[in-house]
Amino acid sequence: MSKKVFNVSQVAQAWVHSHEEDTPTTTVYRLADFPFPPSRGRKGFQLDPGGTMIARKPGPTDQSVKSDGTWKLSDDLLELSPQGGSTQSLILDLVEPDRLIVQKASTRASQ
Amino acid sequence: MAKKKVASQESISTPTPPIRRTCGAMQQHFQLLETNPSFRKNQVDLEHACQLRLRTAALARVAPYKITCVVHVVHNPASSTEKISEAQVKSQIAVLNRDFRATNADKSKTPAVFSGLVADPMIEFALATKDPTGQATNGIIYTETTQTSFSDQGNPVKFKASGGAAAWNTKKYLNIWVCTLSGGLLGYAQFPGGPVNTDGVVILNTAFGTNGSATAPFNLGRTTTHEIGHYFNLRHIWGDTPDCSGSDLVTDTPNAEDANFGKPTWPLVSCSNGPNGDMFMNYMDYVDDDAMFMFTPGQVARMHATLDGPRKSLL
Repeated sequence: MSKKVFNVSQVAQAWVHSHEEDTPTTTVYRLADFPFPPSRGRKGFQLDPGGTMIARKPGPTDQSVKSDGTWKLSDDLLELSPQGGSTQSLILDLVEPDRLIVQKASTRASQ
Repeated sequence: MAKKKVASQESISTPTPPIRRTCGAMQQHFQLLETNPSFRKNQVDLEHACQLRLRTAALARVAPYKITCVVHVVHNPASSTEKISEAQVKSQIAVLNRDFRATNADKSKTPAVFSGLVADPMIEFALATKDPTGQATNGIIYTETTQTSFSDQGNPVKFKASGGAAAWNTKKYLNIWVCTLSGGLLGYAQFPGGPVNTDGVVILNTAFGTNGSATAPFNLGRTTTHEIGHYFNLRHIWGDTPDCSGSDLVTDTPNAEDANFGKPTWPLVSCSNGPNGDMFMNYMDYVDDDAMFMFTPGQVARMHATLDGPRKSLL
């Protein structure tokens, strides 16, 4: 399968996990101002065009916690590198002005 | 599960041994432990007590623990729904008394492979009948605010100066704040051993109790059950890492990769935990209220170690 190609201007936004829209094969993110319904917690990442990022996720007692880091994009590979942590590699499936869709690992393995 | 091995969902590119927890949540947690020496010591002491309890044959408890609660309803008069009724508050207390005694009817939905792990925490809850000065009360305190919502950062709902309501003596009362939380967050908690003036749980008013403003799919009172689980030192079932390396420090829950949402269909396999898969029906996952209905013996042991330790003054 040929790689999809996305560019920085498409991806450099604040994205929040819209878990209600996930499918068995994809993880869906929406822009931070999306009217999300209540949730026990949501992860997300704010990607600055200059390559820095702020990642957020539910903490161990459900308060949101954030970590600074960097990110880079190569074709469809989005790599998120929080400070002091391991790099997380996301394979982008689709990027629209208000929606970002990531392939789940199990889907990638079968391709 | 207490020991976990690494796998990945959205793959970790450099998973070389030794495995370390690296997610932001746990970094923040450990940073708090590093910067707050008393919280660090309290958490370490409690973890030792938990592990000691698991290694010894504790006598089966015959009398339930009794917890006295105060519910601070912080409401903006401009909202017609934030001032929840006494009936709504009492419906929440009733849920707690079912869930923490394993008398909830929906535990029958537990998959057969996990049904032997449904445990009775032996914890009961009641609204306070006396306030900290000894005056009679119904345990529900209404506080008007000009705030339209409260952040989960900095605990503004817990302080008068930021439009909230001050805690009652947190050594004696389980403080429950009910308000409009910003960002659609359903609730949050504080582990034992933390700062005393913010100790307790905070719950979104539309996710509190089973009637009134309670709104599906969070209208069965399970948000408060989940948060009080944290208050009694329980961790998330997936161990707070987005892979298989985290642990909830309990041995009788399967290793799980990440939070589950909605109403999953059993089995849901991750982290090579087939064929039974994730115990997503556990109160400490992130599923909808009607999809969670059990604690395990390992979780109960952690809660009892907490109630016999840092939260003993509540009893």
